[in-house]
Amino acid sequence: MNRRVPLAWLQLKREKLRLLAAMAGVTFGVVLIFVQMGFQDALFDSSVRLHSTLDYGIAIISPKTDTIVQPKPFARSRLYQVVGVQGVEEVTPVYMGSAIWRNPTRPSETRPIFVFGFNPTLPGFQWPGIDDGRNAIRLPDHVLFDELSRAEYGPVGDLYNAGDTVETEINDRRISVAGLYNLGTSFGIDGSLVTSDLNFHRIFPERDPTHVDLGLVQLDPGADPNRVRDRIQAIVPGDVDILTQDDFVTREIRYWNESTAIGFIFGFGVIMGIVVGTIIVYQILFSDVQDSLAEYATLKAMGYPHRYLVGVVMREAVLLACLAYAPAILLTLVVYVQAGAATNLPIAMSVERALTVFGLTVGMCCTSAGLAIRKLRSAQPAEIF
Amino acid sequence: MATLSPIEVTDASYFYGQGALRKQILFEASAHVDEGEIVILTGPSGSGKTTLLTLMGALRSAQEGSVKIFGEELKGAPEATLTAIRRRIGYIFQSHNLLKALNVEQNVQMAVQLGERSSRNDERNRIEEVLDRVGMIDHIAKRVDQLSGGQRQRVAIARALVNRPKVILADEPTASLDKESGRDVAQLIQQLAREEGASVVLVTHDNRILDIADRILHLEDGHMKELREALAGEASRALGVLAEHDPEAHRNLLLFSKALARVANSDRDIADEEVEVIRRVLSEEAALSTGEVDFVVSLAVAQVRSETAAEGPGGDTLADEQKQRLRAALRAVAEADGELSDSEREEISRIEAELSL
Repeated sequence: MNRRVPLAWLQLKREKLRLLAAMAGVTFGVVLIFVQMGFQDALFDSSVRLHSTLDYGIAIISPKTDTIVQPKPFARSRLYQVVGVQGVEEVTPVYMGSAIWRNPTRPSETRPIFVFGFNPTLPGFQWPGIDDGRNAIRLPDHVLFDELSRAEYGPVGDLYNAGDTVETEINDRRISVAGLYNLGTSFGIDGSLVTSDLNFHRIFPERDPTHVDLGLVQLDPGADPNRVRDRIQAIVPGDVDILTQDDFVTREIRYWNESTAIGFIFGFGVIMGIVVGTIIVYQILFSDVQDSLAEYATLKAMGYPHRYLVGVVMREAVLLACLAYAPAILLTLVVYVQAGAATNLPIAMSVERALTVFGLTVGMCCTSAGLAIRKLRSAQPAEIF
Repeated sequence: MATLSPIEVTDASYFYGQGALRKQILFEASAHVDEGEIVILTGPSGSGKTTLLTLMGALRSAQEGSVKIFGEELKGAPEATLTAIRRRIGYIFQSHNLLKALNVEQNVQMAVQLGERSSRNDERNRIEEVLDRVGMIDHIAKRVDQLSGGQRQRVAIARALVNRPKVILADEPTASLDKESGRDVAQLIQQLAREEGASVVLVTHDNRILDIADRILHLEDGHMKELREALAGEASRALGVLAEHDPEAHRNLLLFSKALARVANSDRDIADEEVEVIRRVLSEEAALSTGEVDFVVSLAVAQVRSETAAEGPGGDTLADEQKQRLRAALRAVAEADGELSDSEREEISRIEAELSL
């Protein structure tokens, strides 16, 4: 057994207050990174919640539809063309639009709400709770309500579960809530309704029934979505986009990431976290090197090579990263729970993100160490004595 | 085959700075230190002592000349060679330069773990042994800031010596210590070096520790000087200072010593008993301080020695060449006022006769 002097650790804890300040600073930076990434992922997750929870193999949309929140209609006849393609089991047309919802308990308050319409006899539209209400929405002016919609729409879920009839107006038309389902909000959708295609046109009388917003294609069991997509693409003209589920998800995320400021804003937040952390770690390591210059020069005079000192500073950086990461991830979990409760967004810690941020933290500390190490060059024994 | 000197510096020159600001610090300095020899390097501040020491310690490289440590040329040597040499040298710094984040044991261990790998037990034993020898074993677990200056320097010595280096370099190790601990530290270095048979180069301008040296080297303005040259200059400067600031004492002390020398010289000898008596009389009757007594006696003895020197067997204590020089010097002095008077000529022949020139 041959225990060497743990110089990095001893140097680091020599000044307890400084170490504490450094940890607090790095922890702050790391939490900032975590929160930014958490919100960004939550935004992306929520914005594709619809895309990933619906049951379909291939989606058909207008090429003009950048995001599901602002759908552009296309000719329903395109969907009939697709039915005959090999591997396609069924095609479900879906209508989407934004209507004005009146709060059932405070009728003076109105708010835009997202409305999905589909033919309830077709199986293609599936969320938890939809099947229970499938028959109910065949009745005129009956809708299903997303229980996870924002509270501003009124306590619809509570009222419904209490057995009350919930009636209100959408686009000045009287409707009643015939059931609940669970989807959840996103940055683009605060709340949603599902109803039959016929009811949809009652709510949106100006909409042309021959034009739909989304086509959901169910595939034969075992059919390869990519090959079916290629086959469909071969027979339809270019006025619709044929997307597998993955394509659809990617397209939606790309919109939010590239066509809005959101990706930039969160990316900027992450960078700010990194910058804050880097500067703090640099400050701490630099002042350690500065204060210990004579001591480090002495070590060189004794015969320690330069790379040993580089190693000491690097180890200090990694130690600092680990010391700050532990409280940071705990704090982040608390923030996530709070933020999730406040926004209804699916914000949660993933192993992948935990590892990514740990890597970033270590990288950040090592970058600072790399900068501080330049100061080590002046630890020349001959210059100091 | 001649034994290799562990330290061999030949015509080493060193410059600080670049271009127009380039300043030469060492001028073709040469020095060698034999195995087990303790050499003290003195000189006024700015004379290049520390620079020379750092050259020996492989901490910097001479731009001209040669510096060989353990037979290895350091001039132009790669960093790896310098680092390897540094590990074989025990370097004691002016300020202790201990690592403040570590305790006493860990500071010494920093040196131990540079050496060959050995078991933790063995390392621990060596650390305890060396701390015991410097008298710091009771403080093994203390932090550096809990120690006094002298104690810190002792730990620094332990750190320098724990790997049993054959060369020990010490840069003013007593400078930051009071008189007593300075003396202790110097003696400790001497004693430990003797026990290990290590060569020591100790830079100092602390005259109180000169006596531990086997040999004294003197640097002035980057030039190596003979000791007599340096000390004679020093002594004349000291007399000059005394003459200027306390002319009365200057005159009295010189008078005392001249008178004493004449009495002692009348029987051509100054015996130890005589010296004892003179010392007592001077301090008791003439009420001189110890330093003043030393001065008067040394000066008197020196004068007697100079008179008797020429009368050794055969009167050949002076070489012919030196006789020539002395004769020329006498003439030059006599002629300095423009003419050579009779009385001067007379005095010269008397001196020449006395010194059998």
